[in-house]
Amino acid sequence: MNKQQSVKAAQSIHGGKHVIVENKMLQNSQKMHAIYITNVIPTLGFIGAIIFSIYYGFGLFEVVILVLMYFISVTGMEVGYHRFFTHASFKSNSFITSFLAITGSFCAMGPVIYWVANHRRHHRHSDKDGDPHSPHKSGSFLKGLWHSHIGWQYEDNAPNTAYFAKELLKNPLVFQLNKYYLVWLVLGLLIPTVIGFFIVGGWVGALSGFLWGGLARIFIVNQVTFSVTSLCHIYGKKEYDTNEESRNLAILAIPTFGQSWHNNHHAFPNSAYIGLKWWQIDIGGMIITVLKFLGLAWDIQKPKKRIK
Amino acid sequence: MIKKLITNEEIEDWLVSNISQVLEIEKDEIDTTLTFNRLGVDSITGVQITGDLEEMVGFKIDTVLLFKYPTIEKISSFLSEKTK
Repeated sequence: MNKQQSVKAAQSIHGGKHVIVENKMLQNSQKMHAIYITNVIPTLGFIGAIIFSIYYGFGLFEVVILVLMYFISVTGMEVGYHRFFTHASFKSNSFITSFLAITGSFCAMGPVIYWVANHRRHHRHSDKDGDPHSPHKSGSFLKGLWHSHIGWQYEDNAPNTAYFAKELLKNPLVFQLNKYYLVWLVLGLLIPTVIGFFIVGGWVGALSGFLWGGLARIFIVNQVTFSVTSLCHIYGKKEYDTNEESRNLAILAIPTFGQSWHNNHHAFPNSAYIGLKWWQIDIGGMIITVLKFLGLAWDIQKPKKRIK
Repeated sequence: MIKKLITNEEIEDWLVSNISQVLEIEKDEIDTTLTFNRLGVDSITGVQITGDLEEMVGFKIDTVLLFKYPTIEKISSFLSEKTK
């Protein structure tokens, strides 16, 4: 490692600490993960699932395994990675902490502490220099759309986890959950494969579970989630005068489990509830309410008064 | 970089001080026999620590060494041997 490869350069420094860590080895492993694990393999899996279904059909099992695994993964991503780990919008026990970190890892978007650090970076610099995935900083509309949806994952430097998420690094349970990210990711592919093997039977069932409940599910979850970083900073209604470009985009409310009320979220980032009007469907918020009634979520943060 | 003669204790003290700053932990709370993982050093933090450590000892250090010698005590002993 020479000095350039090592650590020194940093985009900006806050309180004497680097916000990002420029290191070739880190950047390469992050880029390879983003290209192959987050994007290329799930995309090929999605195409494979369609080809598979042309030959073997798309029946009740495929619908159920896709919806079930989608529900579990987006719960992990939206309720877990996002509302619980990043914004600490409620508290819970070790079981739920583990469940959310594991099912969030099913989405192939990286280990939980890395994800949290990037997302906190996004909130600190939203649509300004330093935002990892703003659609408004790339020069042209299409470049911005690509950058905010997928491109940023290939170009970016690693966020400094010790700066953005040190409380998670110092939490031994979360540290271990973070460390075994790839194990959880594989588990998320194995579960639907095994279910398919036993319920439908044989390799056709296993392959159907693997493709629809595994890879195609990751592809769909990711495209929906990436739409929050891209479309929800371009299209929709800006109800709150936040100092960035987030929007409330109703059409994505159900698949994003409420995150597409994105302007609400930027106005009240630590709120466990993102749908703030009765008609703003917020499945993530409903899941937190269910956890609360089961005694599995407490200290739930609600929106504080804000001048509109 | 100029290779320097550095003692085991000097490297240990430096690591305690560096990790205490990076992760905001009191120096007294850092046990040199605990694994880096247990202290909260992930790969991103590890890269920063080894980058700074390179300057202190005066030769290149691969981040992988933090996994091979996973405590402050073990890596300090290994590195101080290398400076001799």
